[in-house]
Amino acid sequence: MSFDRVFKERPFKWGNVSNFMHFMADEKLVSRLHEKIGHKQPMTDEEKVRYFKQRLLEEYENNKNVKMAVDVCVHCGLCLPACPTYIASGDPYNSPVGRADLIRAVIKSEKISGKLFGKAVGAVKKIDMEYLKKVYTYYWLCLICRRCGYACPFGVDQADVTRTVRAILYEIGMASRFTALTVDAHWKSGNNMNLTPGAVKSIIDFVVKEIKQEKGVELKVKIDEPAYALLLPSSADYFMNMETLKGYLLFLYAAGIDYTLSTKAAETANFGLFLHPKHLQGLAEKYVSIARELGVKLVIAGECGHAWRAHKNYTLPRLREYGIELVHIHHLVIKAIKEGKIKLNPEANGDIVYMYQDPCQYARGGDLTEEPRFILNHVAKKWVDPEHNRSWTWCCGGQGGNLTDEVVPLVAQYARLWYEEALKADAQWVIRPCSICKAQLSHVVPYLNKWYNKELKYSGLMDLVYRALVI
Amino acid sequence: MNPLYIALYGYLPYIVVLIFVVGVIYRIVMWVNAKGLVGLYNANVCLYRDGWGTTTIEVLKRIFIFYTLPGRDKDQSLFIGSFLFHWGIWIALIGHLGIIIPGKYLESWFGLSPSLHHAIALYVGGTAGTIALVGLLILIIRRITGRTVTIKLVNEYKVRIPLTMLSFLDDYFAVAILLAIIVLGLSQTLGITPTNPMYIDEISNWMWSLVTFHPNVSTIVADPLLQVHALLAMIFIAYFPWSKMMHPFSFLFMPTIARPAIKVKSP
Repeated sequence: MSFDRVFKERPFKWGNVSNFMHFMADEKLVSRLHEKIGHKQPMTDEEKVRYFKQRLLEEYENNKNVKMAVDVCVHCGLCLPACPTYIASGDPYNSPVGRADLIRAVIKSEKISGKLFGKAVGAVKKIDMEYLKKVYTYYWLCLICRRCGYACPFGVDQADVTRTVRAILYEIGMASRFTALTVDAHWKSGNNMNLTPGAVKSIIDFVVKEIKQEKGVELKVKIDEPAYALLLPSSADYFMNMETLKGYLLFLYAAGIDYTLSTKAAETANFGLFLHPKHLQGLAEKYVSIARELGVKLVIAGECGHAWRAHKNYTLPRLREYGIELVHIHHLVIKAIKEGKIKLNPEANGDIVYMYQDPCQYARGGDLTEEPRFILNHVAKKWVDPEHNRSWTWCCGGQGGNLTDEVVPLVAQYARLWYEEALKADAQWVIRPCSICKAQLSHVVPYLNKWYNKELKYSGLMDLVYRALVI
Repeated sequence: MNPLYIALYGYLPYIVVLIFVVGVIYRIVMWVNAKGLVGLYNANVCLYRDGWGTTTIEVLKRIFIFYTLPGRDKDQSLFIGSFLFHWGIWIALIGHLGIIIPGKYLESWFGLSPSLHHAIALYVGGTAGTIALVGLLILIIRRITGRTVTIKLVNEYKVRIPLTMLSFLDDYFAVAILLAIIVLGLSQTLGITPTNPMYIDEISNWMWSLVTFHPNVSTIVADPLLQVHALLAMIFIAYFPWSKMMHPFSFLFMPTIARPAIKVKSP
């Protein structure tokens, strides 16, 4: 199978996963990204260490998440059995409180108590590049799934501390190669997969032909033309999740919504969320400017969890400044069902037992838990919820930049949790309406199916809508 | 009288109260001033659907009934220990009001007879102190021994909570000083009050003298247990604002409280 070599080179060891350090982006790539956000990074190791400490202290003073995490955590340990990375790896550093302590140790070393009592109060003695590598390793293995924030009695959101620490690491030139490449591709081509405008158009032609064959209807899809709405599918939907893409196109046709695709934004993702707030903002601004150029009134986000978080919390308020609204495709499907604009036949999805598993960023802070379930009631004959559902959903294991190849043996362990949840309920097919989930599943499900001797399948939700739509 | 007594029990309490008030205000101002949120709003305490009413209820539920602590995949000892410890402490703290105001005022202002006051102090105070002690011991034992939580899926995932690895001097200092304060307080309530009901009045005369800004430490000079209990309590009160003991106040200043999440409008 595709990742056999990685499994051999980087074996998973219970209790210590420090061998899964993400490959680092090279200097050239990092400098290119730094230019985009107008950042000049410190050069020598000594400068880098000093800069890291200084920025961390700045964040501690100014960033409410970091401040509360350091000030309030009473080390009760409640986040440990909530964190999929810890449950599946047994490495205490690969946990919310373990990660928090790696930076608390730096902050403590600058405080009076740390100077007086040193290690006894958790202050680290020597902060050097080796220490920063350890911070880098464990902060990039965090899934940013926010399960810990929901378990913490005080609501300390270690996932957002992770984002802050990653941002500082990036500023000194330490960034995960996979995420840095993805962000770079997004800046350059408007999508994560470097799809050219020609490729987008050809794929759409191909998809339209398939829809005609399967559903007997010829769609006219606008690309880069003025319309009422701008549809943002994930770039992976253009070649990996084609059934999802067909679902968007056929549904919007059936619901009579005037929309366009954009070759400049053949994407809904925003990997800036995992790298640096300035990249997040910069990439979100691209969406805003394209929506304005096309003169749309509505932006429709495709199935993607982290993108939904970025859109809902950053892109949407910015769009509203120009009188443009943003919704998830699921919101529109519900509206069309309620208004009787579309006809759905659940028989089309067979007698399969589906399981709906919430993508983390829909369920934790995304306000998108009941909508997909409402749709499932109309498109599937039988579906079940996992025991750990809604805000207790398990991360697919690939979020937060962990889709990168070199960590597959580890994230396959993370994935056991949701996989076993499906087996426990005798589900045959897992619905995860998120592009990262689907990509991660494509990596790990072949292995999981082999290990458990099962044939579990997976897809997005719009795939089922596509099959159920009666035209 | 030994000037050290006067300094420790006549003047130090004022300094301690000042440190506490200034410290708490300082920490809260620091929390409020930390406005950055990494460019995104968040939803730390799951309030994104709610208005002020439900937000307030959520915060109160978290503070007073610890409702997020028990349940599936959780370490139940944390809930049991925290619930007992905090409620024991709160009831005991309310009970301390009864030793600030002298008995004669309690009777004339609130109609609380000395015998009833003594009975409440002994039985309610004694029970509260015992509950707090049991709760704290549970918390200490789990911190020293660690815990294991089992998550049942197809396989059982034994999740070790290695609390010793994640505990430092400040964590141990807080529990150690609290343990000493509770044990000493309880030994006074259960050991001395039944044999000497006037004991409460001896303390309240000293406490009231502090409240009225006429410190008089003579009534407690012959009472070493109380002196140690009071001294440790003063150390703890002064330490409180500069430590994680501030955690109960944090609920009110978590990011979501100040910046509720954005709502999507369906067209």
